[in-house]
Amino acid sequence: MRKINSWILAAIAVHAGIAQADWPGFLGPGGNAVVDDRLPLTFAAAKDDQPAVNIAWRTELPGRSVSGPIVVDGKVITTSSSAMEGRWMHVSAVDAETGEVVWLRSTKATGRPYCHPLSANAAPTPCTDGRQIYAFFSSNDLVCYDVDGNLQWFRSLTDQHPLAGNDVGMSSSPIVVDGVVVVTVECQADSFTAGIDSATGETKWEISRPRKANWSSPRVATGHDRQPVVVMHSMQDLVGINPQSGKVAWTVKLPCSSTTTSVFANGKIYVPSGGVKVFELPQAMQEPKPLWESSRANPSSASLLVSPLGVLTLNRSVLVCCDEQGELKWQTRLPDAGQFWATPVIAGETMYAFALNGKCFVVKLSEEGGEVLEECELGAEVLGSPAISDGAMFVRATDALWKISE
Amino acid sequence: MSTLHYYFRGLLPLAALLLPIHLKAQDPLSALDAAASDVRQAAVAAQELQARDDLELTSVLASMKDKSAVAKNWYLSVAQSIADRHPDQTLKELQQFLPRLSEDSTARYWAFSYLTRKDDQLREQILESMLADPCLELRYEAVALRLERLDEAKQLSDQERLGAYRELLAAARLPSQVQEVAKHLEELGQDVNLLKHFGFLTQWQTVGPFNNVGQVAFDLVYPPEQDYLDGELDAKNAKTLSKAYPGKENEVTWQAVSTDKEDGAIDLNVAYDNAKGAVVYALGAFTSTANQPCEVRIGSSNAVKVWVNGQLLINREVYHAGATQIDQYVAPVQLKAGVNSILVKVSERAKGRLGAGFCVSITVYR
Repeated sequence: MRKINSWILAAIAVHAGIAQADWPGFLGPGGNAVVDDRLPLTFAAAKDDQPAVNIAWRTELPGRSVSGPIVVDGKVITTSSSAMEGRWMHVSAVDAETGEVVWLRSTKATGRPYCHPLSANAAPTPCTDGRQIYAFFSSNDLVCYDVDGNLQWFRSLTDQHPLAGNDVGMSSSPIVVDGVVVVTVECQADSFTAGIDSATGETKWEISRPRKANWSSPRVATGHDRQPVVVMHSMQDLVGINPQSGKVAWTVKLPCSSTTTSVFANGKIYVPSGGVKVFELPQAMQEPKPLWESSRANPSSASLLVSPLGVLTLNRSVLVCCDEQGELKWQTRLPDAGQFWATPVIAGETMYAFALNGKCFVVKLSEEGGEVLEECELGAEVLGSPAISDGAMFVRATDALWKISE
Repeated sequence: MSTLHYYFRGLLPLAALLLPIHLKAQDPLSALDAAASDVRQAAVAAQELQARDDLELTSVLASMKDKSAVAKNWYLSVAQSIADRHPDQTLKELQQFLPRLSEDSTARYWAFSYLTRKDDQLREQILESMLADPCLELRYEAVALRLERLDEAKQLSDQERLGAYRELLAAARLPSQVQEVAKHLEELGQDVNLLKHFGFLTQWQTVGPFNNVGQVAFDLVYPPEQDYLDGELDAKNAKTLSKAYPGKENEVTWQAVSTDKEDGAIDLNVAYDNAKGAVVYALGAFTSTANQPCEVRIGSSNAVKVWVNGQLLINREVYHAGATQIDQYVAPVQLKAGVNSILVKVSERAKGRLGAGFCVSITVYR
């Protein structure tokens, strides 16, 4: 299992009860897709007479997926949706070594699965506490399996919230913290965040949220007191929620990005808000203190990353690095990149940024700048952020799962 | 007034070829029916059932009929566990189960997916005969497969293509698929009247605008709504529509609005001068040949309420960002023989979206 950069991430892992999960949810361990691992610096799909390079396997799976994969118990877990209007929802477990499908489970949506053609009902990235897998779908269906694929429980959140949903599809990814699965559904109508008992599937708490479309995901943060707090933002606020009670511990009035997600790292919350605004969180249940802000670091569709070099953002095709005071260190244009939806990942000193067209920019990061080492081609649509485990990168294209390793 | 077009978006199941399996009196699966209301109870029941070795796969699937959407997913988990234990037997049983047209559509689609998950040839072979299947998802895939094949069949004459696309137009149910087929037909020179095909109501009496600035009026009952609920309005009788009401800025009266657009959209911007932050009521009438269960379907990018014969059926305070989608909301309705009334309340939130209007159809479901 790869080493994690910070003691804070380790503390979060303990809180979340992560046992064997290498990549337990959206943006990986601790919710900041930066790990100390080593991945191939180049890779390519087989093309014409050219053999594949550093592709261990490619496994086709049913339907379409724009979610990211997770890794637990030697399996890569990924979601997809298929059939008319994406009503059938799939959770697949693929052997991380061989690429064989270990199990595939299907359920049918009970809510509205409609979404923009670029998206899918399978948009949120699943999460795990190492024992169970929690998969959430745009149709507001939440399903829990154990790592062997046995259904533990199924919840239709549409039952209580028939108006929840929007016209381009929901994508907020769930988190699990101390036995509570937190899902947030913010849209033009019935907006809410719920804490679901991970053992039983019962709702522990629920709070109302602003009636504005929001695709960002909740995060777990911890203060010096090691207490976890659920941090989430909307177009009007940044809030901290007690995961056990659902009580809003603090609120900062702040217009935040409705697309990208906040990151907690190094005891600070990095919030996309017309740039990046950074807060210190001394105590989990007390309002965080503003530290600095930068308009230069302004993530557009992909979420920001906090690396040892500083804060990295993709503003369209420009990769920007700011230091921990918000000053611009450098910026690099990724040539002919097109659009990025997938949040990049960083392994060691190398960033892997997948554009929508399947081209992956391998960028060497240093104090001096970002050097594009390779432009690797998978020839597939990639909208979900990859997962990293044991020197391998697992990439969820819309139609298949890829393992990239030497 | 519009006459109801009997648009058979729903399907007429053929008689089952085989008799459904009847479970014994002590149905071990019945505990799963609590799923929608008690997830803990359902989980305990499902885990117990998943471990049992005496359940027949087809019995589990047959039990899904008329169950809630949530309960069906629990049933599927039990079916899946049986399939995992007995993969060879499963294939044989599902081959027998799939042709039973009267069985639950979700169960049949699951059976189809399981049977064909590793066999594209079998998938295509099964879909060959599914164009009229009562399971809408199977029918959708059958139409999609034919469309794919027609795209590839370069050798076909225009006449042969016309015949094939006409068959698909009759088979397709999902609006986007119907529109795709219609586009092919139009490219071949055949006009398709989608307005009629979808059975949209085209003639309305409307009144407004009433104030909705600050989105205050979705649940506010303006006088036309009260008059309708009191049974005083009749779209067929002009005398009942002669009253003037205090509107957002001026006195307002009923006026006729109609559409000939393919998507059935009633554009309210023209009639109401691009009013913003407004409520408009639309009153319609349609004839049913019998007392019968139907579905009312509406698409609107505005917040809407829909009443049929005074009964509130759709109540969606959602101010959408996107365009009006056909069949955005669907509700069952019991029609009476003869003339039925319908009232639509359209609430706009100062974005100038009255032009997107709304589209309504009443469909027979069999």
